[in-house]
Amino acid sequence: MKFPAVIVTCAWMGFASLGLAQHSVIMPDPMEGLSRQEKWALINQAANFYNAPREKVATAAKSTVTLYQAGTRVSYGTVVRHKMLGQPTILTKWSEINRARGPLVAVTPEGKGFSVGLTGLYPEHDLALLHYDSANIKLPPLDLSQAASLELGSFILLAQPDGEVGSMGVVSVEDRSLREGDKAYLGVVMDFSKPDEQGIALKHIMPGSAAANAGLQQGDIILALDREDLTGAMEMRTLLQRLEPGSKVKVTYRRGNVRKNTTVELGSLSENSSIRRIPQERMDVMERMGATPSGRRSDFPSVIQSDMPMQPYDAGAPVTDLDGNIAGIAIARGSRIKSFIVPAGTIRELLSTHPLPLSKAKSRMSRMDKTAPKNQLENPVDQVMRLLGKGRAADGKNR
Amino acid sequence: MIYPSHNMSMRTLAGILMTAACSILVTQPVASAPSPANISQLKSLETKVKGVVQKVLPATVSLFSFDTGASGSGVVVNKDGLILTAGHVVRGAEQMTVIFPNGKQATGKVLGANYTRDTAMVQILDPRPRGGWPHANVGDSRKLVSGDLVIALGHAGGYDSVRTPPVRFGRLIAHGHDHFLSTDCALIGGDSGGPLFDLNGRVVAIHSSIGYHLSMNNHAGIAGVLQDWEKLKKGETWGRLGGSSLLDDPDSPVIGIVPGFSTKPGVGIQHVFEGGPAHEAGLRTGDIIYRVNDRPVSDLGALHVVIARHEPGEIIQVHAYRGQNSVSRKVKLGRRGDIAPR
Repeated sequence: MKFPAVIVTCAWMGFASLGLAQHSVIMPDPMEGLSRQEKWALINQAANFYNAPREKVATAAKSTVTLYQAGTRVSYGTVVRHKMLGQPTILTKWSEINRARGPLVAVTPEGKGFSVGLTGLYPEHDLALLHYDSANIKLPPLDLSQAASLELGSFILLAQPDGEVGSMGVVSVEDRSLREGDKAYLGVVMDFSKPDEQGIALKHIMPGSAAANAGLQQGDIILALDREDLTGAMEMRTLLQRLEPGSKVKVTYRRGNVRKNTTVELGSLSENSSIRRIPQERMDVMERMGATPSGRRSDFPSVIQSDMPMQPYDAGAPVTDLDGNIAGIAIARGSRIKSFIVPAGTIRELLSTHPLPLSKAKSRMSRMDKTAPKNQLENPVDQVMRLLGKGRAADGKNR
Repeated sequence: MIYPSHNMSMRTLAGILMTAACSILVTQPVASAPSPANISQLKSLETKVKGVVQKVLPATVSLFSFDTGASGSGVVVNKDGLILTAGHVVRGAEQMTVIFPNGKQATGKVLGANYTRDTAMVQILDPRPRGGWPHANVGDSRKLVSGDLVIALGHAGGYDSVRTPPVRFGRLIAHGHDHFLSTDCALIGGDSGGPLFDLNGRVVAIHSSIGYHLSMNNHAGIAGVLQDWEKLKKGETWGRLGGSSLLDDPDSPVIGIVPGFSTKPGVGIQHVFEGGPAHEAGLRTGDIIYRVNDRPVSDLGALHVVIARHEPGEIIQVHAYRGQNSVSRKVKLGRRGDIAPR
């Protein structure tokens, strides 16, 4: 069971990690300067933040199951209704259960264990559909008809099966694709070095690109997109990348002293040619400072970004707003600063399309489903129940 | 974000809270920060957060320099286009490209920096748009108490054209030295120089550095900026960066000195790192650097600008006053990651 006791642990953990980390920055623990009362005030405040909205996750929590493999908690699952399947089914994070650790066991909010099997996949979203004995295990499917209306700064809550708020955050970035291929692509190398000059000089045209097809040439000066004057190369890139591949844009440019227009049908960006950003090695270190990122945490076609400090094994749980409406399903911890949630609307659309059949998936799970574990003496469901009874079923964090 | 512990049971919490209640009974209660007792109070906080984000997000800019490769964030604080950012973001740059969240870009001139407080100013040079530049007002960091709720914005990981700067919500943990403060709004590289807002949407601090825990996010309080305001605006650069900034590029060039006393014109050497480039070249504590190659070095900012134009391994000619004499030394630039003390 999680709860908001927060700060005491943080003070200790802070010290512990300082000792461990090689790149460590010597930084005093901010808690040290606080009085005892101030520390308790912070703890109580966190408790209030997590307790105040508990009733709002109650309904979603009833549709949530905990998933175990080999006695270890691997993720959560959410019971949903698929348009093409007769009975309720469970959605969870595919990459977390595809590690071949053994047959999957689900545990209901009431603590009843049952076995589940793989039905199909939505690999781009890293989601898996699981089937179970829904005739005997009665679980209410999540109501996706009341999708939350979210904006930047909206509070969102991760629903745990036990009815507690497992994690909490705000909407950091609205729904977007993280796939490079979903960015529109013109096919030019822009001259970023002269931010003061009017227009953006094209240093190079990619052969066969949208720009080449539209007749743009090296040395052309781009003045406007869709009749909107440009303030610089960054704005040009921003406008282009926010368009969808395949959309058409009118380009106004200067060649020599002649002002010209052409219409370009945009391609898809296949490579990230971004200007120098934060060096990747340092980002890699910082992403893990105070957080354990999920194995798969990129390339999602549609995710909301939140500062919710979820754990990788929290993936698969439903996320609600402060009215209890469904925001989506938690899919990954991205880094120190971000978690990703597949929005309710995207889930609804997926649940009216056929999942990828197992035969087409690269699955270790599917192999395992067929071969019964010969070396395992105990039934996997019994194993989880026995461990839970003793309070020993390991949390994913211990694996 | 305010986050829960994963290590204790509910029963332990009850015990802790009881103890807490007792200790509060026998001592003075502290100034209380907002703490939602029910869902309607939580919702009214949410409404405030959403309102602030909508108001101040357009003023949260990305800054980068083609000369130094530095990239960070900043916030516009008046309609004339004055930007507050972190000292380590502007180090070595004279001009920076300013990008607004909608992609519009402008050119900024680096004004002054106080490296000790990790604060700096940049002025947008482009003509002011009708109605002025989008901006946020400046607040007062000294009024914040532990537990006060705050909102962080910044171009985390660098400018990204397909998203707006990520919103983070949290609270003040503690005030630190020299107006620094720490929060549990999680920051990462690229956020440096970005704004921390109170629930009225006023800038209360500038993001500076992070530690290994989620509650170790350090921000330069606005109170320090307000004290330094006129000096920063006049373009003065002084102080020394701590080793903990979010963006201390280990590949940047250094000569291996601690710049000290300010002399006009020139930069006094307070300390020379043993075995570092300046030491190897024979520069000494007390020397006053007044020229590098053909460029006069009027102050610390100018020294950083000229060094940033080179790569580690390149040789620069450093001219310095030593007492009544003048010395000139060839210094082979080192790499920050190899030299700067951690």
